[in-house]
Amino acid sequence: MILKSDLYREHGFLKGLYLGLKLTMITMLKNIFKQERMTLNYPEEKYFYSDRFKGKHVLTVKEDGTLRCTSCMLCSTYCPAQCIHIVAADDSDKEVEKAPVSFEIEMLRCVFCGFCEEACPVDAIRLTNEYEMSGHAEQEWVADHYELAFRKSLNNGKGIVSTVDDKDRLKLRL
Amino acid sequence: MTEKVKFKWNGKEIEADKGSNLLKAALDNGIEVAHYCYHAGLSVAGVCRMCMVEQDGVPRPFPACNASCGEGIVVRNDTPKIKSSIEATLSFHLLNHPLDCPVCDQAGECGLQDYYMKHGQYDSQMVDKKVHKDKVQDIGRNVMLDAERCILCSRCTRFTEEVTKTHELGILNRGDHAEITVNEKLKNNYAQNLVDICPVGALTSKDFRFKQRVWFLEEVQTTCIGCETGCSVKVSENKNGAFRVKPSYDHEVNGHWMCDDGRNIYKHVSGALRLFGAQENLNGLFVPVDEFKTHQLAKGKTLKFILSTGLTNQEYEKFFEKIKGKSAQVALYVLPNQGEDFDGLLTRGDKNPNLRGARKAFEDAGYDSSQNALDKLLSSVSSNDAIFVVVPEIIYNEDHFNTLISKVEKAGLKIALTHGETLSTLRAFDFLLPIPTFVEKNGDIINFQNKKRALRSGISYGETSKDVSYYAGWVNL
Amino acid sequence: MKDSANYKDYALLSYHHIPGVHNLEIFERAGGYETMKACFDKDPEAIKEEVKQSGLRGRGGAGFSTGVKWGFFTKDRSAIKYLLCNADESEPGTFKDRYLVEKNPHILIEGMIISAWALGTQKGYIYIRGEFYHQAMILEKAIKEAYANGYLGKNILGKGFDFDLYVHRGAGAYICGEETGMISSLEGKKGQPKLKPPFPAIKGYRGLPTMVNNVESLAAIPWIMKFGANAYKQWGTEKSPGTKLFSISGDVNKPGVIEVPLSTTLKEIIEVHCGGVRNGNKLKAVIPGGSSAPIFNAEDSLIVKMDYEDVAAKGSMLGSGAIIVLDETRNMGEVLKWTLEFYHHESCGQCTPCREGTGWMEKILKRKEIGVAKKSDIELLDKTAASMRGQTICALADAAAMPTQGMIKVFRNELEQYVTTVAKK
Repeated sequence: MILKSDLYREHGFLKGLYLGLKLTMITMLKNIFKQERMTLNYPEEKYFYSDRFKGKHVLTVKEDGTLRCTSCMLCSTYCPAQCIHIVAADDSDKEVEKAPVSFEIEMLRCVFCGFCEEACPVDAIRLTNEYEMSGHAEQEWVADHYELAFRKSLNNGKGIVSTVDDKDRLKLRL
Repeated sequence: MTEKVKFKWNGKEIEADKGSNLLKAALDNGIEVAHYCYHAGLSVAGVCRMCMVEQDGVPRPFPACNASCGEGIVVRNDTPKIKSSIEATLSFHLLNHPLDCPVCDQAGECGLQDYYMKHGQYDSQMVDKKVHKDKVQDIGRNVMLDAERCILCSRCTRFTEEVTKTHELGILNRGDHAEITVNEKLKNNYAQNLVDICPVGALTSKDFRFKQRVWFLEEVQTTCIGCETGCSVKVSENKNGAFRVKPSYDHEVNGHWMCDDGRNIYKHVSGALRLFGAQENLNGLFVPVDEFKTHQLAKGKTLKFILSTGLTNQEYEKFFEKIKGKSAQVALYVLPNQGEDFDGLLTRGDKNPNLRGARKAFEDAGYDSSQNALDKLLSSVSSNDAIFVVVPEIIYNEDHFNTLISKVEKAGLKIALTHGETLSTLRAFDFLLPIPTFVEKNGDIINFQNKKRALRSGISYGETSKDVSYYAGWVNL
Repeated sequence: MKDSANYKDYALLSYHHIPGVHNLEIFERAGGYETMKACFDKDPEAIKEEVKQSGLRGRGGAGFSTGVKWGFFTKDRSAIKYLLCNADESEPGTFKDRYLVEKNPHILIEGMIISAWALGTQKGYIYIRGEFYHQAMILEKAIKEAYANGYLGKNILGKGFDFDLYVHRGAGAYICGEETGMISSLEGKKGQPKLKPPFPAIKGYRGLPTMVNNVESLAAIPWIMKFGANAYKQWGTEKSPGTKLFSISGDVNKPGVIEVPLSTTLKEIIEVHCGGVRNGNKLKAVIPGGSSAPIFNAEDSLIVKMDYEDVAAKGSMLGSGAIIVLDETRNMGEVLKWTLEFYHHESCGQCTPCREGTGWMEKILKRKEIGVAKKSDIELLDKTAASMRGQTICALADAAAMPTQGMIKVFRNELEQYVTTVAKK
């Protein structure tokens, strides 16, 4: 914000002094009586972001526990950081036809923009509110599809099931 | 000389041969006309109904693919009536389409996607059950059929009827239950063309299946080195490697097609076996070495070269320039004939891509390119020789080449000039030195018609800065 | 049925009252094949001219002048060419050709021989619908008799003219009633219409000039040649002269085939010839020209005259003259459903608008079965039908679209009600 330097000519000094001190006093009084603090005792206490937070990726699974991803590569096409690497192969199920044999995200490159989530036509990739990521070597920062879909924090390793428009599609099968 | 006529298409004046196909004339003149069933290399079917046009003085719209160019006719396909009819017809095409673009290899170069962006009715009114047909059928010769995606343009059935005359494909059933079927399995050597001419993802290549999305690929316009025909081809590649070969239209040589053998010529280009520098043979294992070592060992030896027929005219020329006036023995290894001489369409038994260019270069430089010269060179091999063998890029008959290798074993220093460690018998050599493959160099080759065909370079996947003439520079150092 | 005494007044059914007229002997005794013998003395061009003068219009459905069509045919008599008789009568509601052939096959054969002489064709085929097994056998027998009498084969009646006639049975495809579809079928291919141009008169069966005519057109030739073009013109209007067979089915007391002059009113046909609407019910609608013709409501049906122009002026078409009468007990939604099911089943699957459109129209009409129907579906149906018209190689898409649009025009409210009402179980 750019303050006009000659504001005092209009309001005088006292008004400015009053406005500034008012905010200070309110905040001080609030803190004295309500004990609301801005800081957390991390990692004992943790902050919970809303579900819309763009944190660590998750690959959703179907009801039978396999990956929803059809490896259409739209996320890797759209990704501005070019950090998604997919290797596709035939799936034995004719209805599925194509599935990834490897799905990797280079976490250090990722900018958490969420474009992959938007590009995905089958709701296979989502960004979660998990924000804790740490690692020592570069290798640890490449998340493979086991990490992305079946890590411990996701439903105790079972993965997040998504059935978006599956029912609609199946209903229309002959 | 055929008579020329002038007519107007959407107000643009076009000149074409009298009586030639109206749609072709428009397409040749750079006008974009939506069409599926028409293909310049096949007969007219007129079933997709996308190329409908209106002509002044003709009461009903008609498909441009079944009309001919006439003097002074005025044709339009941008009137509201035609536009809405194209829109409606496209919606009929998409009606029972499974819309599995995410798993379809055609996505990105699909006629349905292209025209949908232009003529689509964006809000779907289809809530009904779609007609389902058989998916993922392997119909032989590396072609995969998905009957559901098919729009029944009948290009493929016409191809097997008219071009290969093998009649493997047909359309079964009527109405919206009609589907493409194969009577047994595809058995012609041109089956991969079906994948190219299919305007949608119904026929896809098993070889290319799920390897890459097409929008990641770039095309390099070059020439096939599979045989002496020298078809114009496009090699699709990106930094991860080369992925497929497609024919590109060439009126004089291959027309619209190419053979299935030629589809495999990309495989060595980006393989794991490519050389990134000189390699030395340590008890059967090739390890990287400084090229200088080879250079030193070759010093003082008699240098003998056995060239292959796969080099460009420019490479031969430079090579002979380098050894001009120096004492080096040169001979030419010619690949043996493979199969019948000519299959009637494109494939030829003579598998040497640039035999004519090589012979001419040898002759111009005063060398003998005959088999006698090769025999003479091989019989005179001694331990004081350093012999350079240029390994052909594509070897159909490995045994024939292996006999050549067995004959050079006596040489003191055996060096293979190759793009990679392609054959196990290359272990007979002491050193492997890198040369570029056909999509990594610019130049000309001469095909069976004595026509110059151009090779163009794309991305490099190995050490490509040094070619045969570079090594020729080592002579008499 | 009509009083048999009236039959002799008319052209096509003039022999039908004679018992056993399908035998050559009885047919000849009644005066059959006389015209043919007389015609061999005439100049072929004169015969063509006479047919042209008579104003005979193709009875298959399109109503194109037979004489003019013959005029397009090559005049080179030595060239190999074919005469095809279209007896693939598959239009729902039509059964006139079956009746004609069944009772009196020789009039068709006589007509074909005269036409062959006029056109100079060496070979003829009668492409008969697969379901007409009995009729095909009758024809085969009649042809055998004609061969035995020297009316067919080499050097007919010593005139130095060869004409062979064969019966070919279809396999039950509606689309093979379309002339190019029939030619494909006859060639041994899948019965799919071919692109026009070239027209069959230039490049037809096996790529050679082929003339395709309907049974009724060919059967009218002997009468025209016997009594002359002017006599034929005494019936009908100037543009639609002659008589026509009408096959009347549906809710009338006496359905069947009748021959009346063109331009007879529909009211007369229903009330006089067919004995009125069944059970004294109220007339609701009439389909005047087979299932592909747009429907008439009761008011229009009572004033329309059955000739090509007047029916067209009222927004329908005469087609093959198959009159389907519907009384007040009929649900128009059901009628449209059966029509669309038929066209969906019969679309050959070549052109996209027809292949996908016929199937989709049926699905739209049946949306209530999957519980997604709404009133605006009728609007969509109308739009879909409109976008199919004039888009395909043959007229099957139009044949499916026209009755749909016609039905929506006349009975929109009833259809809207039909699509949204789910039947009680």
